[in-house]
Amino acid sequence: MPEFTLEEVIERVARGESLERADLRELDLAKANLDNANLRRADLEGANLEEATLRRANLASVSLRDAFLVRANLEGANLRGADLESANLEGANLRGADLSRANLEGANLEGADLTGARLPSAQLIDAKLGVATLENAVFTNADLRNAYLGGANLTAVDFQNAILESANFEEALLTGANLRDAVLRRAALPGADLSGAKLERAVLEGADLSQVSLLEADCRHATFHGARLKGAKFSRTHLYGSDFSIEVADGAEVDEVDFSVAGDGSQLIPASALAAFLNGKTDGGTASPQAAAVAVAPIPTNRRYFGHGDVLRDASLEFDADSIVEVDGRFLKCNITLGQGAQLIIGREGLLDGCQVHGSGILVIHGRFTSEAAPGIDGARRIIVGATGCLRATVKQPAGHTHFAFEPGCVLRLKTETA
Amino acid sequence: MAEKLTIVEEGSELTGTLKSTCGVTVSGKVSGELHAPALVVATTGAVHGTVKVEKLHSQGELSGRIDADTIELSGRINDQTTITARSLEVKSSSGEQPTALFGNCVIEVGVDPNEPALPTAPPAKEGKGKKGQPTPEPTGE
Repeated sequence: MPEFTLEEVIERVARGESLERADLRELDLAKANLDNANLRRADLEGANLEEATLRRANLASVSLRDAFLVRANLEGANLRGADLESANLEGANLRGADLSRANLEGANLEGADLTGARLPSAQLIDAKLGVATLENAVFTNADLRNAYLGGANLTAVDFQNAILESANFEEALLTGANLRDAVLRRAALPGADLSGAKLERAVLEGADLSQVSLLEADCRHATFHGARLKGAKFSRTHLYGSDFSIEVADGAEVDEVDFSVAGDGSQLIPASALAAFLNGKTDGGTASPQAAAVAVAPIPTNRRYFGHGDVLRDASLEFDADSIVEVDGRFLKCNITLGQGAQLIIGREGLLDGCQVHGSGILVIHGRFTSEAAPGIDGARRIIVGATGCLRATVKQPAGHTHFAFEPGCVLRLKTETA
Repeated sequence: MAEKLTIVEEGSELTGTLKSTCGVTVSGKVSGELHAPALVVATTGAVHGTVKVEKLHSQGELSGRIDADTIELSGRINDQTTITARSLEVKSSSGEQPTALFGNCVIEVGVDPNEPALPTAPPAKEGKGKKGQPTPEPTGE
């Protein structure tokens, strides 16, 4: 038996009294006005809340397991840590609701409006979100394994670090979505629109990407192995560091694609040169796209390569804006000036010892950079240290700061100084 | 269901020592010492002082002496901060803003603690010796 009747609940809410920890199991609260109610930790398991209004209600840690919330209005409600397992929220209004760490396993959210809702670390395994509106919603670190999101509006949704294994996104709108580090293994995305989506380091192994649009999507370091790409559209897609290859691209419609380190479109490879580019990538036993870019980029006007065994000592070197310099040899006590946007890539075998680097360039370190000069690096716009990289130096940042990126596994003994 | 967490909510400030056997999430402000197996600093969060955790994921503001096994960083790292870790990850930024803003900091990741430190100040060069502040040393509490 529930602790209160429908009338008592409505009366208490109208008087602004708390229903915290109240036992309201199986209670029929259909169409009830519970706006701003404090139902924190209440037990509403199996309750009927069809078309009830719970705007800005405090439902933190509430139990709504198997509750019926069809077309309920939960706009701005606090549902942090709520248990909504197998709840029916079809057509519900959850705009701006906070569902952080909520359990929505097996819940039905079809046609629900979750615009701007927050669901970080929420559990949505087997949840149904077909044709739901999820624009700007936050699902960081959420678990959506086997969830159905077909036809959903996922524009600018934040799925960073989310687990989306075997989820279904058929015909979903994912333009501008953040899928960085998301796991989409065996996910189904046929016909989905991923234009402008951020897929850096996303795992797309075995995913069905047929007919997807990846126009200007950022797929740097993404893995496509075993993915189905028939009819997938790659146009100005950023692919640096990904495992994109001729075999992987089989059946895809590829226009020009970008292999620049920074994903800024500075290494666009036209479709006509792609096969040569990708074949070049595997020549010489290197799987490094930036190495391939150096080796077979179509307009190699500003590239330099210093191979294994090359040694430069006490040299002064200046590299033009936008040039690409790859070092697999050794530079000792050299003074290096990088023009705007010039890339200095230290390969795995490369070593820069006792050098000083100046200028607004980009450093990519897979090998070693060691300098006791202060600063050893002055004014670099971007410094990326890969998993095999080692950086021991003082870095003086330009106004606006250096963009640092460090991969796990790198070794750093670093001092950063501001301008 | 969700694991147990100690949460310092937005709008809350804690000064002193916080020791926890469960994970800590900071959306507010902590000043002092913090010891926990895991620490998450949200975008609205700030932790100033001495931090010793196994796992740190920060999107907020950090300063002081940060010691962790693995760190994932974004947000702001203020001046006078020392970060020591076995593994550090800062993701590549795609926009105009850096993923993480580093002030005058010392970062030691995966290095032998017995290895000699980097020089603490710029080498004396004529005409430049008095221009800037010497590189700040990491400070204890």
